[in-house]
Amino acid sequence: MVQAHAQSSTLSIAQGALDHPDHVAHARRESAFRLRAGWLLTVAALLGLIGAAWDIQWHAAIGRDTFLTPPHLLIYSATALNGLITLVVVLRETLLYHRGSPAVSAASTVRVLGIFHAPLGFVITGFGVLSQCIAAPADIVWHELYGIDITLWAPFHMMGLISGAIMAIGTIYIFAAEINRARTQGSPRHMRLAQSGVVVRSAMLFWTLQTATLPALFEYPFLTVGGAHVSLHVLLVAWLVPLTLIAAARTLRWRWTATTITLGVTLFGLALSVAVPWATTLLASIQGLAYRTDAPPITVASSAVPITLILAGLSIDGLLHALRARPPLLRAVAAGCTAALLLSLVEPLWRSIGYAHLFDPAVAAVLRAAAAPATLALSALLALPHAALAAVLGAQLGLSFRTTEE
Amino acid sequence: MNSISITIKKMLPIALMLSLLLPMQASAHGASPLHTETLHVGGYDLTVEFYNWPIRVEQTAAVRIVPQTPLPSRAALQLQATLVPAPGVPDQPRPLTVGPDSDSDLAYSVDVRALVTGEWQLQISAAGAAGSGVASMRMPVAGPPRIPVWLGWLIGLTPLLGLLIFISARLRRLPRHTSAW
Repeated sequence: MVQAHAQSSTLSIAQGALDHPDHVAHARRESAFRLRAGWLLTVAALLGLIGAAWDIQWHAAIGRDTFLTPPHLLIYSATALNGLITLVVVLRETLLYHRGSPAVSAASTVRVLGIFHAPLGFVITGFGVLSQCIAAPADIVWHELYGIDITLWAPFHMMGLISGAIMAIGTIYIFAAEINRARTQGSPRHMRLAQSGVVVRSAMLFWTLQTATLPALFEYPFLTVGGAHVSLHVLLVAWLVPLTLIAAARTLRWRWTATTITLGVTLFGLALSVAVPWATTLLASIQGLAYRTDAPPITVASSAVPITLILAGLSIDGLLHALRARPPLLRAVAAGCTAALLLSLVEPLWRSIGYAHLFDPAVAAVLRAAAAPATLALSALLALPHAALAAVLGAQLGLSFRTTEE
Repeated sequence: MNSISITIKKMLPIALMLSLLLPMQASAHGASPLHTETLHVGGYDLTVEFYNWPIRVEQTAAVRIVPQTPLPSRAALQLQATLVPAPGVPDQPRPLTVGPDSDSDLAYSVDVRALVTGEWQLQISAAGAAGSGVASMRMPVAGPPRIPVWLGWLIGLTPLLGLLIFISARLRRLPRHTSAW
């Protein structure tokens, strides 16, 4: 039914294009513009992600002595760039809409605040930028009120991360709409660019959300259920992995989507593990700043990325393919639960054996406690219903991305 | 003559804009201090003059230190200053830079800036011919109007709420049963 709907609107656009041959050229130019803007937003947001990873390290290793630290400059330059790009696109599309451009119609834009018309994805991204612009000064006030060493789970840190996630979701909508238009226009190059955009932006959405899970690893590791410990990080990963990977897999319907995204996230994490400590040391020495005595022994932003993430990606892609004759939500739940089970059993063990010894005894004890057999089993069991819900939501979100026209 | 009057007219708005900066300059080091304390440090009596009181968090406030004990020159007295957080204030001691005061040959100037609200001590150590020693004075650091934690979370999570409402609206538009992946 969805396909039928997509096909009918595709046909109507194609019919319109046939009626007016100039419209084909207009539509192609418009698609190329939106695609370029989508990729510019992606590059700007990538700078922001690098800045955020660097900032977390800077807070932990050096401190937050002033607002204008190098990572803050990188984050807020990226926000400004995102804001500028979104603003230009929204104003341009509004102008073209009111001029009656055939490529910018009510079918390919949404109306905002009565007068603005822009593609849905740019509107969502714009709201993400706006909310980040509120989060930045509010975070300064929060640090002044509650101290330098506040947790990442503070209201305006979370507001910043949620804004990043909103921007990622907005850009996925931009690329998804362009996939549909490229199909109509028969442009394989645009199609490939838009599909790659969905992969990269989904990986960045994953990265943003995994950053938000960091305190569950070190600061708030356990929920207590009837006197037993449940690893909070395991539960959050059970949401994060199926939600983002299955959404992307259903958006693209490409066999290796989840594997590619998890490979990208893993490589990005490895690259940051090398680059972030280097940049922190370099900039701190240039500014004459000293390391704190409790500086972390690892790159904090990469430390929550599961080491077996690629296996989770492979298991999702493999099961989605193997169960292709089954109903979509069943496939999603089976794939999501398998990936979550794998991660919830393997990751705490790896952290306990692989890198707990690098930390001070208190943190090491927390990491080892998460791998205690009872905690491991109970956490994995409780992760399953979470993963199932996340998989259903991811599958529906993917369908929503895939069927977007605006 | 005419061109001079045009130039003056052009410069007037700029001068007016620049004049807006003057009160900021003046308040940074106003005519009379808002708070003064005299400390006995080593063999010296030092008057510590605050031109902002209480100090606001993250604000750079100029503090003048005027020796009351006669000195042959500024070089005859070595001063050092440190901001020390009281127990419970989540920060560490911050050494400050003591420099010459531009208004007086025998006074010193310190830029004080605290990053966290709460009780701080301004610790001054003096070393000179009359002896050396350390003394402290109380320096409360006021914050901006306090935001309760619940209100912070309410504001901070509003975009998440917006996102969830938007996504649920989009998902409601999807067909209820579809066999297509």
